This record gives sequence, C-alpha cells and structure tokens, in this order.
Amino acid sequence: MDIYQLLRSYLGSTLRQRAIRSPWTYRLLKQAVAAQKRHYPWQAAHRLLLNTIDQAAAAFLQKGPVIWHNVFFPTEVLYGLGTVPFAPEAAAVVATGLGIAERALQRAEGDWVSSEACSFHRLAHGCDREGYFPPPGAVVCSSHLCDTAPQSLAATAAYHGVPFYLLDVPHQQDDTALEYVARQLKSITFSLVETLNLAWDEDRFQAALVNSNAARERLLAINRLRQQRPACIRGEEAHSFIYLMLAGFGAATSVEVYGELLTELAQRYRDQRRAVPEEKARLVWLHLRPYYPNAIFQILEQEAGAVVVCEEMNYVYWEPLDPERPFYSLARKVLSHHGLGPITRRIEAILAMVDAYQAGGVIHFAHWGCRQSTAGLRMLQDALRERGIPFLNLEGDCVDQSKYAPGAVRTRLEGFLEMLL
Amino acid sequence: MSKLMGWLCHYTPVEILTALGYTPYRLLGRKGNNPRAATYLPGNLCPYVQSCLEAAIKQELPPLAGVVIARSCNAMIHLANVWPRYGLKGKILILEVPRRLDDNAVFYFSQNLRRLASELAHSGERQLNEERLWAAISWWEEQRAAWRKLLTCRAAGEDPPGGEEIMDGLARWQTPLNQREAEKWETVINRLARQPCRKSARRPRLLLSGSILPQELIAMVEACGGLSVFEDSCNARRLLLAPAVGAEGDPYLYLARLYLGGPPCPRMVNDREKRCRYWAEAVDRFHIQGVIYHAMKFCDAAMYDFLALKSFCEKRGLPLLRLDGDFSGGNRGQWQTRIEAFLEMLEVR
Repeated sequence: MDIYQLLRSYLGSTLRQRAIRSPWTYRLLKQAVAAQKRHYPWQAAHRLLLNTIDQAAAAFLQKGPVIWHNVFFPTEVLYGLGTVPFAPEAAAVVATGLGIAERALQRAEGDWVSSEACSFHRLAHGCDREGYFPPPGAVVCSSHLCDTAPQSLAATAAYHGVPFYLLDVPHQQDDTALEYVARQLKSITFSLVETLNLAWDEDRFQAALVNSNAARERLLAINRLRQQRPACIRGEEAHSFIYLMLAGFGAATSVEVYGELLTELAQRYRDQRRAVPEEKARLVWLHLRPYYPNAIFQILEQEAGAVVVCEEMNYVYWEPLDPERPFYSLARKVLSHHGLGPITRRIEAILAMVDAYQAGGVIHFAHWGCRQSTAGLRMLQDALRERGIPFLNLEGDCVDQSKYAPGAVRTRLEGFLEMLL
Repeated sequence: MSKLMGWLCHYTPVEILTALGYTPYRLLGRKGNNPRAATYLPGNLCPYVQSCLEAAIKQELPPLAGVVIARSCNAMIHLANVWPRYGLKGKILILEVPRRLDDNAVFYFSQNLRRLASELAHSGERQLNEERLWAAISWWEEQRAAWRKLLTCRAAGEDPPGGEEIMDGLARWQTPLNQREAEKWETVINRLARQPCRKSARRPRLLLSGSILPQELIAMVEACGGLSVFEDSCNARRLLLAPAVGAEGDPYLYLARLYLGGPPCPRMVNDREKRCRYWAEAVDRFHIQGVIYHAMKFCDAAMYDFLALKSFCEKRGLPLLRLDGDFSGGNRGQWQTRIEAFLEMLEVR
C-alpha cells in the first residue's frame, strides 16, 4: 500500500490537525510501514521512512524542544543539543505527498505571501498557519544561498513569539569569515541552551560531530560506488536520501541509513543488478526534483535508459569535522558549500561531478522562486557548452503541482534525449 | 583615467572611495526593459539589478574606473558573478556585508572594509591613510546632516519641498559626474530648501516604503494629490545615516558600525524590531496618514518586509497600499488607478 495514500486517508478528515498530534497516528503508521518492509526495493529507504516517522512523532508530540531550521543550517548543532530538529522546507515536501499543498498554498496567498516567493516557503507558511506543523520552541536559520529562508523563518518565529537566530554566512572562505561564522555558531548554541533551558552535554555535542563524520564517510563510499558503470540505483530512488543531507547530519539514525544503503548498493554492484536494463546515458541532476506524482524519471530512466547517477544535493563538499573544535569545523563545513562565493566554484564542482560520474549530460530543475540556483545558469551553461556537455534547464516547481505541465515536460525531455543519445 | 567609482547597494561605504580620490557614482538603473541583461540573468531576478547590468552592457553609464558590488542580497551576489564577464570593463570590487548588527558582525565588516580600501588603493594613486579617511567621514557626515535637516522640516509641516523634488535632489547627489560636481552638494540642498512648496499642506501625508523607490512613483503619487513626506528606501532616507554612537578610534570600525547600525534594509532580518520602531517613529513624527509600499518584483526581502509592514499598519490602523513594480517605469495605468482610489479613501477618513 502506498504510504502517502494511507496517510491521506487518515489525515483527510476534519480531525486532521488533531490526528497529527495523536501518538496513535505514529504507532499506526509505523506498524503499517513495518509490515510493508518486503515491498520496499531498498531496505535503507524503509529504514529512512521509519526514522522519519519517529522524528515527526518527536516533533508533533513535543518530546523535546522543537527547533525549526532551514535546510542549510548545520543540524549537528541541533542533534548535539538533544533537541528535535524540524525542517519546514523538508516538511513541505511531505505536505505535497499528503495532498494538502493546494490548501496550504491558498492560505499563504490569503496571508499576502507573494506568489513570486519560493513555493517551499509559501507552502511551509500555509501548513504552519493551518496548524499542520509542530510549533517551534526556537527558530534557527543560516543566510547562505537562499534569501527567502531567513525572511520566512524570521516571520514564523515572530508569529509564534519564539527567538530567532540567524547564522550569517558570508561568501568569502578566508580566516576572518571562518572566525565570524564560528563565533556565531558558538553564540547560537549557547543561546539555545540558555533560552530553552537545555542541559549542555559536551560528549553529546561531540557525538553529533562523530555521527556526522560517519554519515559523510558512508555517503562518500556510496557516491564512489555510483561512479561505476552501469548504475545500480536509479536517480529517482537516490533522490529520497537527499533528506538526510538537508536535515539528518549529526543523527545516529542517518549513519544507520547510509550504512544500510551502502551495504545494499555494494551487493547490487557485486551482483551487477542494473538500475535499468540498458544504460544508454548517465546524467547529473542539479538542484531538487518535483515531489508530486510526475513522469520525469519515468521518461528519462525507464523509457530512455538515461540514468541520473549523481545529484548535486548528494555531493559531499566539506572535509571531516573535528569534534575537538566543533564550532570551527562546522563553520568550515558551512563555508565550504560550492554554492557560496563566485559562481565559478559551483561550476567547478559540477564539472568535477560530470567527470567523476562519467556523465554525458546535465539537467537542472529550475524551481520557481529559487533565485540562488537559477541565477547563475547562463555561466554554467556556457561552461558546459565549452566542454560539449548537453544541458537542459527544466523549469517547474518542486511542490506546487498546478505548475506541472506534463506535455511540455515530455517534449523538453525528449528533445534533450534526442540530443544526448 | 576616470576617477568615477560605481556603487549600488547603500551599504557601500562611499567614504572609502572619497578618501582614495574616487568620486562615488551610484548606479540607479534605467527606465525601460532590459532585454540584454535578461539573456545573462533569469527573468525572475531583481529588476533593479537587471537594469544596472543593462545600462552597463549598453554603455549608458559614464566612464567608470570600476564598480563596488556589495554581496548584500542574492540578486547582488549574482550581479557580482556576471558583471565581470558581460558587464563593464574596469575594476570589480566585491564587498561582503553582514546581515546582523552585533560586535562580531561589526568587527567582521570592518575587516572587509579594510580589505576593500586596500584593494582599491592598489589601483589608486595613493594608499589610504586614516587621516584622509576620517576627513572623508566628516565630509559625508556634513552632507548627510544637511539632508537630514532638510528632510526633517517636513515633519513639522513647514512648507517642505515635495517628495518628487527631494528624490530628484537625492538622485543628483548620488550621481555626480566628477569631484567638482560632488562638492556642490550644498547648492543642491540649498536650492531645494529655498524652493517654495507648490503642494497644499492639506494633502494626505504619506510614507512610501520599499527596497528601492522609483522616482516616477513618487511623482505619480504627488500628481494624484498625495504628499510624500517620508521615503523609506535605499535611494532615499536609508542613505542618511546618523553618526554612529560609541565612535571608536579605528575609522573602519566606525564605518562598520555606521552602516550596519543605520536604518535597516529589509535584508537585515535580525533587525525587524528595529525596522518597526523606525516606521513607528516616522509615522508619529511625520504625521503619516497612509502608507504606500512599493514591492519590487522578485525581491525576496521586500516580499516579507511587506508582511511586517502590513502587520505594523494593521496595529496602528493605518491604511496601506501595495504596488508591485518592475523598475521599468511601466505599470503606470494600474498604479495611477490604485493610487487615486487610495487617496480618495484617505480623504474621506
């Protein structure tokens, strides 16, 4: 049974807001998911779902101080403090799957949140104001890459009357920037301890960094496997694990999921279980994908044999953390993001992905309202053209299904595939 | 060689440019569409930034020795990416501007300012010494103080120059074509101060707000019968920084505190309360009867700034009109209809 179908039926009543605050919801869900274990093509995906249900339960049942964060904030801090992290942008994806996006987007529009803004944040706004999200105890947000997240999360913090902490991340990667970010991280951490009356546990904090390193190692190993031909995991399947990059680093459960994925993937490579019967092309996928039902991966991978072998969001851009110097190493991680600084850094990173994964083409999904990802595309396109690498900029919206035009998407993909194959 | 140095964001410390012998020249965009810029930047990016790039590509700007681009928002960050490749020849200097105001941010910004001065000095005629920088700081403060004084007379309702004239004067003040012209700032202000107000003081008194305000909007508001008495934007009031409190002996620290501590731009999300206090003070002091918000299309900061202003106006019972604009000088018909209706509504209150 489709898990989203089950949830939709459970939450589709007038009691939906109450349902998400009932422990029975999560018990029922976990039982239903656990019973379906054999039907999951990847056991790691099954484990990830179970962990996510636990995390959602912890947030909605307020099992600890819930801290909202944007997807670029280093979550090691939040796990290290023993709090319950909640990423509204990631939760917006779940809301899309649950079929409540339309109503939530309407609510945001009614609250004058401009339709020009990123729909992840509009959707998160609507879900929050409609009572679908757990109320935060505090909100943290980093400023890098995205202008909307700090604005949207600051507004949410003001709405709930809770403290808002901004991690201001510059685009330089020098020592002064490192010092600036590290000091902020330290200040935010201890402000959270004080404001939320948390017990400071240095060992737990260091353990979060150790977990982060372990998850990183496993992800690197997974990525190394995916560089081999032929692909043994489809891009559509690999996309599910992006959630961990956005909200899971620092958690022990993420290490487990990556570990399981690594084991399964290694086995499949040993058995040569191909992701598609005939691999005709290998692609790098930039930015995110649409999270409502769509035919994009069906057209690419199943129909044309063009497998997405690398996702930009699964790219490991940082060096291992030093648990002895947590704030400096987290600052270094934040500043290492290839999207920071001149666009040439992102271009170099993407070209490196193309080389490492032996990709023949690049697709960028231009999510409406995401200016950080789309604004530099012309230079990226020029760089790829110089290397003779076909590039497709596929415009759309990750969470607003009303913006999806199946016919137009198929035409564009087929045109791209003709050029590629 | 030109001594004009272009700048865009109002967090750019023009004092450093002056101290190094440059004449700061603000890029204020251009009217009309930006077809060439649109081939380098996506359509849904800040029209002001597109407009500045278009002006550079079409060589509509005076000859500049270079341009300082502050990485103050996403659009500026991307402008900094494309400018060297498709924009203008000359020196490109990138300035990081924190989004917070605390000691850590002030110190960090001061380091960036020091670096900016050093990078500019390499191509300039002299290294920047602190005495020259302090002199430039005083010179700019003298100008800002005169502007503040002129604009404050509008609070008391003393026969003030209208918003259109003020905006025109401020635009000329930001775009001198040489140092001799820059030094005539007193003439610009005195001419404005002597100019009799041809607008009735009984007109509805308005606060106009936004990221950057197009001059034609203010002209239209006043042509329709309103009186713009407070322009909260980066090409108006937010330029008029008050001297920083607790001045340090280090001019870079002083400048960092001056700029970060000025009237906050919507990008300063941590300063939202300060921004509300800023509006409250303007409303009380300038006897504001209505507010018009110019929401620059695709400006993420403005979109959420509007929500904060809306909440503020609701609490104060102030009528608020939102007008979306793309900085092209278009939208005139729609703007005019809505402004007329808004002013009518204010008159019957």
